[in-house]
Amino acid sequence: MINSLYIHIPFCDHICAYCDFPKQLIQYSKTEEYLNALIDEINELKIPDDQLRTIYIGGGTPTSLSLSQLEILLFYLKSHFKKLDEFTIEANPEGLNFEKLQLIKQSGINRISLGVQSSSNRILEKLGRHHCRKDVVNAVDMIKKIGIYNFNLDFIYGLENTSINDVKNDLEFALSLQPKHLSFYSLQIEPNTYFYINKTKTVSDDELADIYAYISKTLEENSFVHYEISNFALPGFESKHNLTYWHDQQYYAVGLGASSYVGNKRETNTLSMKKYLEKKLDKKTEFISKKDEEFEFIMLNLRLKEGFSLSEYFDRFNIDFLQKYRDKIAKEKEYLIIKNGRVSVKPSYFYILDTIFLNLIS
Amino acid sequence: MNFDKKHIRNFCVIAHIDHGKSTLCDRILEKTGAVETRSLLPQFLDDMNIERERGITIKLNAVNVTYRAKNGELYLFNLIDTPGHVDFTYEVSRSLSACEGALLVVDATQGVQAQTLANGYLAIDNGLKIIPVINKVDLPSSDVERCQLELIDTLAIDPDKCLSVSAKTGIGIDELLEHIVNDLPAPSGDENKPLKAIIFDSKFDSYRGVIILLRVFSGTIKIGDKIRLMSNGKVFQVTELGIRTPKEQKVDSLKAGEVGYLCASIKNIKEVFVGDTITLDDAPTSTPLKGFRKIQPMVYAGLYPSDNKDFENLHNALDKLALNDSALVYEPETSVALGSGFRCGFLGLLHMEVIQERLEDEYDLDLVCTAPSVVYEVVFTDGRHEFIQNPADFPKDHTKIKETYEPFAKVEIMTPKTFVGNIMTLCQNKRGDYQNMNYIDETRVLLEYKMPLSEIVFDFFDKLKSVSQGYASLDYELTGYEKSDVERMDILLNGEGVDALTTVVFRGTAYQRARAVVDKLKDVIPRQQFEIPIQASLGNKVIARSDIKAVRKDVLAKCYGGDITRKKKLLEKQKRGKKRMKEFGKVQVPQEAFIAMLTVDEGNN
Repeated sequence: MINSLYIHIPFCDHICAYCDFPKQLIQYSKTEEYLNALIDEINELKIPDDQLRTIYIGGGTPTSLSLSQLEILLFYLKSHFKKLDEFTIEANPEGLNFEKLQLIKQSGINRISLGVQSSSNRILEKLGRHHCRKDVVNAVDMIKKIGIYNFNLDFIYGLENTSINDVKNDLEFALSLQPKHLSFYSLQIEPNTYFYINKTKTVSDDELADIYAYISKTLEENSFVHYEISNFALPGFESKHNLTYWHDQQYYAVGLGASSYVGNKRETNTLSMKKYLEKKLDKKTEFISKKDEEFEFIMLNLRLKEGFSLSEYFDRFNIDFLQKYRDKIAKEKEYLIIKNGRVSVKPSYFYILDTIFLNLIS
Repeated sequence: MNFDKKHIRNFCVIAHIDHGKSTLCDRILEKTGAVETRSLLPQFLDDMNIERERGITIKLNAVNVTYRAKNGELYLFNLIDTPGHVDFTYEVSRSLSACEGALLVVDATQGVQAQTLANGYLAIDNGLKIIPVINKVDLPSSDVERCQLELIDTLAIDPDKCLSVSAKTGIGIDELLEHIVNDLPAPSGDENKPLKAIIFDSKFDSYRGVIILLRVFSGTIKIGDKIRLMSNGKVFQVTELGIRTPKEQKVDSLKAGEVGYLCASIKNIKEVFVGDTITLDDAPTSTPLKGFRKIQPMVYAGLYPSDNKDFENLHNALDKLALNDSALVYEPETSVALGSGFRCGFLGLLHMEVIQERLEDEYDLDLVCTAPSVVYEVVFTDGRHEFIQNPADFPKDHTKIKETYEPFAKVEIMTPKTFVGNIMTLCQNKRGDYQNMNYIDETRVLLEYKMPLSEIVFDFFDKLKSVSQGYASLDYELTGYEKSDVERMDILLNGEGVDALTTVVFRGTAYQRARAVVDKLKDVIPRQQFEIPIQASLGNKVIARSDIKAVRKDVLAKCYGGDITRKKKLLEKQKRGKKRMKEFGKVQVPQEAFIAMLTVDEGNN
């Protein structure tokens, strides 16, 4: 049973320096046509009304849609999916207004993820963002006023010429806004981004590691659980939708360039807006063998503080994990926690997860 | 086809690396109709992939082609392609001795280079008539006049004799063919005298045994003849004779002046030595041809399969390669660190690289190669003495050692005089003992040093090229073992000794070497979860240390639905990289670490 749906809105008012998601500028876009194609794509999935538990509208910038455009999409979703536990929309501080928030609230959306990125106007400008610190405060005020208390704030750290002091300010700022969930991402310079082309760097790995440890410590002191590599939540407010990915469970995904995982296939839609609007989804299909699935299961679940359950692993792959990886586990035991029938990586070694994972499965 | 001696021309093509030797050979084959243009793979004579890839010829090759000259007569050309590297100098000199003439190819854009000189002199020493060929004249940056000036300065070659060609476009090739007929001497030699023929190459064929490429100097050889190899007295009966056009064409006999191949049901290539003289068993010559020397491996290194399961595959592959390569020797050995493998002997570093690459490319093996070493002689206090091929066998306890010896070589370096200072510094740093300096002419100098072979085989050749901008050429000849103060240096990773990284070092420069090695290993071994000390020790005393810091960040910040495929691919690629690493205790060491041992820069040259 597939319980999650991701919806991609590939429009933005402007392009950020670090972003490599499928996107385009909204003023040149055939936005209504896109929404029609998107709704058609969802319809064709023929998902029963009571099946989905989570929907996540991401982007791009979903809130760059106009009120009436947003209404088309949200009305459709509200009338089709009645049993949602978690319904998230991503938003930019400068794209929110009271009318949009009212619509969001009325449509059953119960979680907002706000792209804050930094508390420093200097860094926001370098990141190519079009909001300032004050816009964030205003946006969060409105979100609370409308009655949505389950919101996330996204931050990025580690841009060159920034320091741990900038992160301290970010943390202080973030905590003052009383979110239920925080994401702190170390900046990654991806190909075909403005940063990549301009050879922008991050601070050194050693500094990143120090910053990471500081973030984790500070947030845990403030009752947040460091439940995934880059994610923190007050108990009970972990992102249910995102846990679908990390638990290696299946999900639908619609929209330009979106990737779904259904059956034994991961399918990625075309990146061409022209084709998408002509309903030629041109899906790239990757078949996931049992071996691939096992690799992905471990790779994704180890990102979580709670790791994975040995019995679930056995049920899914008919393999005794402790037996199969006995020698490797012995070598990596310093970095692992194996107890109560679960395997996880010690949080103090989260930041070198890839090394540990590779040693484990190589 | 029968040609009298007057209509035979035996010649080789010599050049610096990349000056277009093989392309010129291709063009000659094409113009003489030996090979149709469309079936012509670029660089036809370079059989091996690795030769085409690296643009160097490693094995010799010979073809016989016919050419209708402007005078209306038909000529037989025996064209011998030569290897182009110092490891194979001996093979080059043997192939030159099979010829009367040489085409000396110079790249018009590069001018005279080290190997131009080295090979040019080798040809002159062998009494060959030279046709200077200035190649690549079609390129805009070509400078024919400069080449002519350099050739007159360095080799005293008359500028009027230089031919301008482009092997690529075919410019000047017709004239070149006429000059081969008119300028190069026909072979001499009496076909009625006792048989004397030189072996200049051999290879193995599973049906016919060893195929010998030979040049007959006097006498005649026929099918059914009993031949004797003069260096070891082995006798074989000739089963097949032929020439290569380049397809093999059988003939009944080969006479004085001719070049061809011979089969005589020889099962073991180790019985056939390049440079050896063949004569008839029942009517032998009394004097073999001059210049023969038995090739001996100079450098030993351990070759290990990355995956120990491949040991038998490696064994089979070495057996097969050795069928065609009499210089390759190997015997099984075991290393604590690397498992089961082979200690292999090579002519030099290039030979070693070539073998390693062929094993990996042609036999699909993943190999770990240890640092090459020469053979040391150790005399113990109890009077025993031992030859040590593997540094890991070198005794640790030096109180039990009375004396140590290592092989020395006489080194001759020819260089434009501008670089003499640099080269002398280099030689001193490599423990060279200055012997002599001669001015060949106004611009060129011949330097003579005595030097330990261990210094030469490491990186001397590369360093020499770099300090002389590629102009200096090198020749060396073993002179024997001499007393030398050497000691075993062990490398410890995370406190544990790694036998495959053990080397033997000269005591006088041991500290510098130790420092350079630990620093280099620090760069090559990737950061791991914990800090790793790298130590170099002499006996039990640590003399250098460097620490690899622990990895601090190695994780993708974002991993959501759309990131999984990319993330997985990234990790799978890293996983394949890890497979190629060797584990020592908890430390993972990439193969580069073993090779890194020989590219350490001690910073003193």
